[in-house]
Amino acid sequence: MLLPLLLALTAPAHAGSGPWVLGRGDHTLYLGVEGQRFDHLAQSTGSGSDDVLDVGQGVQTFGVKAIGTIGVLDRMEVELAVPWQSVRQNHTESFPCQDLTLDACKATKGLGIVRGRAKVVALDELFGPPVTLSFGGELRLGQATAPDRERITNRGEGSMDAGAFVVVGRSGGLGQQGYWSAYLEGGGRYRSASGTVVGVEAPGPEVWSEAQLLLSPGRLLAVGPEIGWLWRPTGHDVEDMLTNLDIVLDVDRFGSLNIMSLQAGGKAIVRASDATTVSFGLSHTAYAINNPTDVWAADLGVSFRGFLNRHDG
Amino acid sequence: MLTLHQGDLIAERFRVETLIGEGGIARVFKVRHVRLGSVHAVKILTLARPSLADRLLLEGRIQAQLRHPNLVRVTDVVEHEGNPCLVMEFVDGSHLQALLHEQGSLVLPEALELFAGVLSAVAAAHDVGVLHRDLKPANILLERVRGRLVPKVSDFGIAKVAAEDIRLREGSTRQGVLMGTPGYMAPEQIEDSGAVDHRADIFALGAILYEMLSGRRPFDQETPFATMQATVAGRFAPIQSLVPDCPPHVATAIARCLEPRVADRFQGCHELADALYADAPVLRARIQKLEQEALPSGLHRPEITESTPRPSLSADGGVTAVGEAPPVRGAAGAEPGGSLPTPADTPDFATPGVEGATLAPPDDRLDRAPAPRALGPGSGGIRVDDSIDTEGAAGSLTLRTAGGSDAPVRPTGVTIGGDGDTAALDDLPEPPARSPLPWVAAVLLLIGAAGGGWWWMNQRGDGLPVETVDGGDVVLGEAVAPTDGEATPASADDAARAAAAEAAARTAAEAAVRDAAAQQAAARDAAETAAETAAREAAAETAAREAATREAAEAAAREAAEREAAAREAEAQEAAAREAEAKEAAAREAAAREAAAREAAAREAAAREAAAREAAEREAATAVSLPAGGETTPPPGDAVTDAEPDPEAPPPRPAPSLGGTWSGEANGRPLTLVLAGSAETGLTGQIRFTQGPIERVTKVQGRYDAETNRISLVDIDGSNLEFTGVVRGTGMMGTYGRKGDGTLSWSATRQ
Repeated sequence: MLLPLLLALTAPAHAGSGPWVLGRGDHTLYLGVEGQRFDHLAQSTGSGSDDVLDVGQGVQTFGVKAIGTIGVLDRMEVELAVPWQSVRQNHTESFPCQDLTLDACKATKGLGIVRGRAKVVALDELFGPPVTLSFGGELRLGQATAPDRERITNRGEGSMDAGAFVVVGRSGGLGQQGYWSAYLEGGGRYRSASGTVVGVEAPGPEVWSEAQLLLSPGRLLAVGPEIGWLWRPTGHDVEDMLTNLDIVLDVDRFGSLNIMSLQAGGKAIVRASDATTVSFGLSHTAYAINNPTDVWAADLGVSFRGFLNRHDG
Repeated sequence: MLTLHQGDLIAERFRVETLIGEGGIARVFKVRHVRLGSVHAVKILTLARPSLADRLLLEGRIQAQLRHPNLVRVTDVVEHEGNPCLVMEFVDGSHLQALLHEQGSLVLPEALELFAGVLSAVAAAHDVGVLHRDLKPANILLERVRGRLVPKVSDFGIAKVAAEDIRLREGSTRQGVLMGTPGYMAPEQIEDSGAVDHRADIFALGAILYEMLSGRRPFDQETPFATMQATVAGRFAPIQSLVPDCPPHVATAIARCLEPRVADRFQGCHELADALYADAPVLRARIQKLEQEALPSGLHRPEITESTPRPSLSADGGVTAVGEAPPVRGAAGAEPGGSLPTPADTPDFATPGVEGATLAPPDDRLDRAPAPRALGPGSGGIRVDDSIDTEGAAGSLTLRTAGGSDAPVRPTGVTIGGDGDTAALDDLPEPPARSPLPWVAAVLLLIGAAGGGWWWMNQRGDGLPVETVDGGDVVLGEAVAPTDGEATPASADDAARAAAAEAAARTAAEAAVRDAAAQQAAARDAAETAAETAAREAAAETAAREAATREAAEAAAREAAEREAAAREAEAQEAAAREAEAKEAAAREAAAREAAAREAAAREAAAREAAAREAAEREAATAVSLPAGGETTPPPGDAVTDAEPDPEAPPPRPAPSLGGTWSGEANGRPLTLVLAGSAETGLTGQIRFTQGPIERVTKVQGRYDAETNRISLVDIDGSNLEFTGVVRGTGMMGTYGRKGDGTLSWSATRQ
């Protein structure tokens, strides 16, 4: 479970993020690239250097992603995110690669976790309430990642997940033409277990949260911090995996890990026109349990709005 | 010679599938349990000598108690036609000897990875006092598990429990019986097989690692006897002379393993692991972990004594004690190991012949191995390298891809021996199958959530917006419903626009009908009043009555003219709308029809009014003859009773068009209205909220009352959005909100 966190953090602003939804029939398409790199893996708490495993000159990811969002009702939108990724480890002869076996460091590429979401606005700040509150469900299809899920270069853990989330946020004016916005989102997902690894269903259920604050002094640019948090409370430690053949030889070994990761970074959004925005995000790991301790993740993308019916005005 | 064929039963419960190995003293078959369906390897003695039988039994008892992922497990000991059989874990793969024969040597990480498993297994056995004493690459089977080679140590056939050493020394391991394999045997083992301890295994481990890294045995000589001489003398080439990039600590560890003096070697596997994996703490930790988990608490050293009863292992069916086992002679080949045959180039000296002359040349059989051959077009590029001992002693079998890659292969069939016997091998383990139920449940969950959201939305927005028209509640949904017989608009937008225009036209027509009715009633009232007045005041009022009648007629005519003018103006506006909105043909047709209806209504009203006027005149004429008296009362509702139109009166006010873009704010947030239409045609357009992440566009329709300057818009998506306001020149302002969400203020100016 090394990459899904990246997927969660590279969702673009203005397209499916936050509690706000598009109007009925309105739609956006985000096209972006993303990359990440990490060099160390926490074997348990990650609090000390002795507990950190050098994965051998780094693991790098490059990917492209398309996210389509459309408002299907006045207060409901659906979204589909399709990523393609390539992951490689930079020194396949290193000891961790040998220790982990199963071609652990062999490069992978292909379709990532495909995600579908539906979001409904329950409270709308445009009509009186102080905040906008939304809730929804998500379905994640990870079948394409199943063949490589035993590798440290995995793009997912091969499971299909179903989850629910709730998000609350507010926006307001800033100056003459500026704005600010903030939201806090949290959710959980059930992951269909691929198997049982030494008494632990893998992958286990997860909870997650993310928050973002954007400040736009003018109409052109908005910047702000964001954080993402992921926690899978059940499972083994990396240390257990490395010393127990029953775990390390199981293809669901990464899915059987008990993990936590806190990623912090920032986002910048440039409004190129009324219908086009460019977003850039950068984040780094702040805390990790059985997860990479030093992930640098970046994404860059363009979001097009209303491109299908621009002629309608 | 014991002969078994495919389909034969062993011990009445194991069905033979294929012969997978054959040595001088035993054969190994792949079998399947007839009831459980599980696959096993069965090692069965082909020469039922009591000493061999005892050793086989001892092997089984020891291995049956060892639990370690890198040890070949023995699950049962059975008999077949009086021959002892070990039922073992079936290892689907090759062995290290074959791997080295194919690849020559292994790269350092791969070698250390494999060796860690071997070392862990041997250490676990040592921890409970079990020695192997014949460690060699041929006894290290390699199972491919999910693409990775997992070593499994087999053939503890000459191992013994340390506590039983003294007793067994006089038995199968007595002086003069050489147990082990030259090149891997420790010097003290060559000198006295019964006087060795676990450090002999450490010597063998060193020799194995040396060979894994260099591809050569450390003491390799032309003859086994010379090999043993070199072993005793400690003559071998330093590993770094053959593998220059071998790390110093690895080279030092190997050299220390191969020390001739027992005291100079590592004193245990843990010490060796510490030295060898000094810079690989993960592998070291794994070895320790495996050792800790390898042995169940109930493990005990085998109680093997001369008095221990044994199964009928001897040829005559009697019980043979270990101590009675005579040395076996003449068996130069190796015993089968695990589920795969021991290669021919490593003669097993467990079956004696201490004399060097009886030792077979170690490597010449490899030279006779047939060339690798492909399995055929359907083999997927997999090549089979086989070397079978033509004397029936042993064979080796390896599989690899044609390109020499170490990629996982899935053998589907192998050929053993020169006679072409073919047997199917089980496929490598597949990843666990997924149950479709959670997936189906998840899909249903999401569909349910989406459906619930849709239902919830409909619950919130099911009531049609209500507009107040002339003080009465009119359900807008009814007003915009298409009339019978009208063509359905081609699109939703067209339908909305047509419905809006139709609603506006229908509202105007209804207003005209109401006006006409009111006028008719007023005229009738006036006529009646006039008749009564005329009846009371007779001829004195005639002039006034005629004037009033004339004025009433003129006022009616004037109103009819105004209505006609309004109708003409409406037609003109509709024509303009037709020019501006070419796509709204259906709406235009509806408006035209409604205008025609309005004209007809107006004409009908005028006709009715004329009829009323004539009736009044007739009544008045009738009343002329009545006696005069009283005053003339002007018709109600007409404050101005001038006979001629007032030139100062303002002309009828044309309804302004609200089409265009209006910008402003709604509850402090940016707001944009894009409208089209007028008071006559109705309004359609969009309301846009845009601020940062909020980008909401709502399509609306509504009406504009030119008399009151009031505008009212509703969301055509049925979400209960209401916008009402007042137009003031180029600006408008008002309130908005959703049903139940309260009312907020908005304002906008025309751009």
